[in-house]
Amino acid sequence: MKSIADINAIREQMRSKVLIRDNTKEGETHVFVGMGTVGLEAGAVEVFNAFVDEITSREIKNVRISRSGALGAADKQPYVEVVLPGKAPVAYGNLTADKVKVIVDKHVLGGEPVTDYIVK
Amino acid sequence: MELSKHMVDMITNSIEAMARHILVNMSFFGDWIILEVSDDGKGTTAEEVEAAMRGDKAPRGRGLALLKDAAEQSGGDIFVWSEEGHGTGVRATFGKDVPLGKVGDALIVFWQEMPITVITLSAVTENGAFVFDSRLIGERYGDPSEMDTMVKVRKEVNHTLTNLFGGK
Repeated sequence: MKSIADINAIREQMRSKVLIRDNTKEGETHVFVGMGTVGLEAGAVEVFNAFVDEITSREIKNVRISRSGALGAADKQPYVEVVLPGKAPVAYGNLTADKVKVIVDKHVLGGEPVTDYIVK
Repeated sequence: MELSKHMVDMITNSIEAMARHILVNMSFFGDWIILEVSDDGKGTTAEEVEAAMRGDKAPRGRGLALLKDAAEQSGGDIFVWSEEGHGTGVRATFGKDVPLGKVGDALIVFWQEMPITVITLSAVTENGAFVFDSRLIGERYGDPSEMDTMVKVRKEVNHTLTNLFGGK
């Protein structure tokens, strides 16, 4: 059984993640990029910025891009979850800037997940 | 790994330690580059710091061990101080050949957290100095809820720090 101190510690650890997830506005697509150490080594910062570039250069509105704590298995990095309004999160792995472009085209704009990149 | 990505790892640790304020300082003088990250988070014990430096998972992940290895391999060193309930500071010294990376690209990763956690980034080198303070985004760059503002910050930080660090 966990003590009150243990539970408080877990609550504190989760707080930053919860704050980010609660931040999503109605009707907004939210992209979470896993930024654990393995993700960073694999190019998570580049993938985060590739989403920023795609979204801003095409003037797409109602999309929010956030850092997340470590997401996904080590061999699936960089790892991203895309959450369209009212839909379940879709997890993508081993992403690159080129793959981000396809995801923005087909999933963020078109509403259809890119099955080739989905983590199984 | 580039210095800018170690910075992301250290800021992440500070956020997970519930910091309200995080101060990042980067400096470059002569043969040495120094990266310092300090926070007012919950801090930790000396034993836990040692465990993190060895690469044990809890409580600071593998990032601190990686930073230590990178600093030492470049001829530098690392110093960590932390006190439970008060905060943590990390100072890593690197040899001048360690790549800086794109600091602006790394900084904006924390954009969504900046309304909750104040992030101040300062840089000083023989070429000049620069300060970014997340509390001044609205005043200096534009509406923080607009992604174009994020891009503006990224561009300025990348450009300025590359110049300050002599194109590294």
